[in-house]
Amino acid sequence: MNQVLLKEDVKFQPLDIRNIHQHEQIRPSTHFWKDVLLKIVKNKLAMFGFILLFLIVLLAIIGPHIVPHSPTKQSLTTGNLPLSREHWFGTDDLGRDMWARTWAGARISLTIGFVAAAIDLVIGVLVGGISGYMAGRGKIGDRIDSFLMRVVEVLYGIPYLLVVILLLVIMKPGLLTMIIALSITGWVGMARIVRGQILQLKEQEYVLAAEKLGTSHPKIIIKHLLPNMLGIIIVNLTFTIPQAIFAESFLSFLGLGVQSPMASWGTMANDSLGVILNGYWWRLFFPGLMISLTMFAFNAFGDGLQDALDPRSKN
Amino acid sequence: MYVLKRIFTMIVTLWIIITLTFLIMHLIPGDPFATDAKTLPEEVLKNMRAAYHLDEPLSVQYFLYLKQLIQFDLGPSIQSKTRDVNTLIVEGFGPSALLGIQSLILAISIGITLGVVAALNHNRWIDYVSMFIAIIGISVPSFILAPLLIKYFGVEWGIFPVAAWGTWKHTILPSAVLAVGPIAIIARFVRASMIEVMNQNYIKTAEAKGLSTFSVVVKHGIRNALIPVISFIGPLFAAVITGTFVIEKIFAIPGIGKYFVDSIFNRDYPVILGTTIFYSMILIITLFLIDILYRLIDPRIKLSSGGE
Amino acid sequence: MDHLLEINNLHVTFQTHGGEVHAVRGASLYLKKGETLAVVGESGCGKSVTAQAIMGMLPKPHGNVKNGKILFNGKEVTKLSKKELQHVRGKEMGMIFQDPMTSLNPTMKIGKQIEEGMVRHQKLTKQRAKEKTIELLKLVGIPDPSRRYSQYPHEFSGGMRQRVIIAIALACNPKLIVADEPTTALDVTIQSQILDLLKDLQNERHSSILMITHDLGVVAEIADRVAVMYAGIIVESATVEELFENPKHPYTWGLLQSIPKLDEKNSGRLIPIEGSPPDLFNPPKGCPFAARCPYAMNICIEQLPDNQYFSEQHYSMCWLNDARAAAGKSIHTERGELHV
Repeated sequence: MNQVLLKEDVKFQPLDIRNIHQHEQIRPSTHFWKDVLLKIVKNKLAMFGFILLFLIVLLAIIGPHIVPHSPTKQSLTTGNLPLSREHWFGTDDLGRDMWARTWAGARISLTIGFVAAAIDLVIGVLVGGISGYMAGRGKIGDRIDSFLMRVVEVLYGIPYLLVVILLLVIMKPGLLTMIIALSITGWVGMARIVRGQILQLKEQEYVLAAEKLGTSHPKIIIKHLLPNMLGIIIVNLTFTIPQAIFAESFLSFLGLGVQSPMASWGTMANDSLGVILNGYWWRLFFPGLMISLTMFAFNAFGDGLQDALDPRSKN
Repeated sequence: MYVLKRIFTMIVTLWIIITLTFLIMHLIPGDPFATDAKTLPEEVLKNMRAAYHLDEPLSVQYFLYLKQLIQFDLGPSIQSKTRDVNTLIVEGFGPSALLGIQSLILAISIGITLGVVAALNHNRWIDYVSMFIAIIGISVPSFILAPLLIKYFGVEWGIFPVAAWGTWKHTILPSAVLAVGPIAIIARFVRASMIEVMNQNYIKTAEAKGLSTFSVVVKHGIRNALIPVISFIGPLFAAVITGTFVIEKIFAIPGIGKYFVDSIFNRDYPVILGTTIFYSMILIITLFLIDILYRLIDPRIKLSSGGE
Repeated sequence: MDHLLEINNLHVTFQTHGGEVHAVRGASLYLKKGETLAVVGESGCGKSVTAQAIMGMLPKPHGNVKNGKILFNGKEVTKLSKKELQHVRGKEMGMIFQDPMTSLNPTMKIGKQIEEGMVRHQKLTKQRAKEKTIELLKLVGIPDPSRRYSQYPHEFSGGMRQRVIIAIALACNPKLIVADEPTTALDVTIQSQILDLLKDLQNERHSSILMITHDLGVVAEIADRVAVMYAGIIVESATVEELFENPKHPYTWGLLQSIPKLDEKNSGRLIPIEGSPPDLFNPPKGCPFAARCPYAMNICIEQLPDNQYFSEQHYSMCWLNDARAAAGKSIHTERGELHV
């Protein structure tokens, strides 16, 4: 090694380890939820749905207050007026301002959607969770599971809207009645999904390992089961909310929902049936448009969320 | 064994529905003879109540009703004194079934086509357009769409006759409106299923055999993608049935759905009770048949065993 | 030059949201009639992508041949239309897949799945196709073939399914069989049965096999020649004997050291190759193995060497074999003693 090295030969000297890492490029690993967020922000349709939803909620809050009209105040002199600077969405046959009524209706639709979905969520996760967690844990556990599942099975076999209609027939119509009617069988879907998920997750090696290592039940549930079910639960929520909103407007349209003078999109659409042929198109158009936009927004956002949460879609 | 078990569950479910419906109906504060009470003497009302067994204790009424049901007798209607519930259902069944079957066929054929085409063009513009249409189809309720179609296709442009029932031409608009939601639902479901199947390894095996694109897509792709769709027909059927309530009302079609909605307003308990039970029965039997069909079509599931 | 298959300077890229992945970066190899060539490498090295490119089955539209030639039986595969490809696939080349559990259509009878190719390419009658299928089932060692003909995949075990997949690949008596990790998903005892079956079938039918594997045991058992692939490049190629006796690339050394041997005296621990393969979004401009190579030199990270030939069939792509690498010689001799 004493001989003088040719310039070329320097290249053939062993490589300094510290040099190596300058040449290695490692991409940063991304956190799961951050990844989901990135994917959904990139999804144009989902973002459009989200913005739409935001606008609808915003207008439901401030909408009725930015015009000087009450959603329930009648005036026989201003019946069925077309769109004008005074009445942005026109008026109905009792002279009530349609803009104010539309956004008052939005409050009712959204309230029913969110509250019914929240109740479904709580009952569904509890029943499905207990059932799934208890399954395969001794005789008592299996019995609890099979009892709960029988209940779910029977409720699942009963046509959802028929039950709701029956309940609405016997109860006093109103917001609360509607929420109760919608959630009485609505939780079944969530319970089935949660139970299925738990049964699947329980078989996963990491849950088995945690159990064998003596991790407590609450900790397994909070650390292992819930985080892994969160995605599917959220996705299911983005579909149960519009489902409840749709059911509300459907039932209100049948005359079983909230009653006059309160406004609901379904009721408004029903009221317009007699006059639509007279050319009072705005009577159907605005409540119809709002139902459709709300449904669209939830579905578009829910679809995007579902795609984003699917680890197989690595785009 | 499995079939017997399913039939048993089916009967239990139906019994629970009947009992619940019966109880709910009789807890209602309203009186079906409220309007008659003002005009008729007390004696006549009493006789009428007796005729409908309304003077008996609830338990007796319940067993009387069950006895009737076993003989396939859904009882008399209170509103329509000349026709009993059976007659109403028999009369209304024709239009409702025609409407339902027509729109189901429409929904299934268009929905599957749309879903498959979207899946085969996954992430291309055809896919985006199809799914955009599908989301709109889900978002616009039939009770908004129906009046609009009546106004334009019926009244303004006069393409289809409306507000009457008779010829096949009268069924086109309502069937189409009824099919819109289900088309969208099926299209989305088929698309997801088809995308999943086309990514399976056995599709690569089929491609490696040098089969034509058509064979790969139809024999290996669509066949497998449609199996889960079968299990989806149940809820779809329910959607169509509930859809008929509104559609029959808007289009003035003399079907069961219209009678059902009318009976709700008239508080005609035997009709509400009868139609609810009838709908539940149809739905539960459909779910059962679909379950059996599924097991017959999918060779992985044996009919004799309980499942997996 | 009776090469059935010849690949020259093949480049395959995948378009993803994160950018372009360079999966194969200039691979060249050839396969003679009746010969078995094994392509070895760890997962993600581009060996399966090479197999897909040969079959014309790169996942569209993301995977594309960017450059290079695939000459099969006188045809340029990369230039064939979709239709033309469909008449080559299954008929002149068959493929055996890795996972027997998911590679068969679950709702189609086994017999039908084997028949399909024959019916399409050889225009057989239904009766004739069925006879041939039952013959094939017997040939791949499935007992009671006429009953098995009308069963579904879920009624078969993993090993039996793999035999069915082999029967599908062989149905039209293709000249080339591309086997993508055919034994990886199987139990060890069944692995060797399947390899024996492949060897027997090859002797009988004189077809060529391109075996994609990460398992040097499989290579030793079945291959005539080996190509070692790393990060989309073939770093060494030789006959099986030459490769096991006189490996010339540090990556090959690493692979050989990481297989367990029964006769190891000092109950030797396996020596893993430290580190992980480079990111193929940004492949290094020099030797891709440099970052993990204990013998790396300054030049290795700057420039990729040319192939160096040691015999007609043995070449390697490593600067250590360059005359200027003084250390190279001593390492080679040192390693030679250590290994054999």
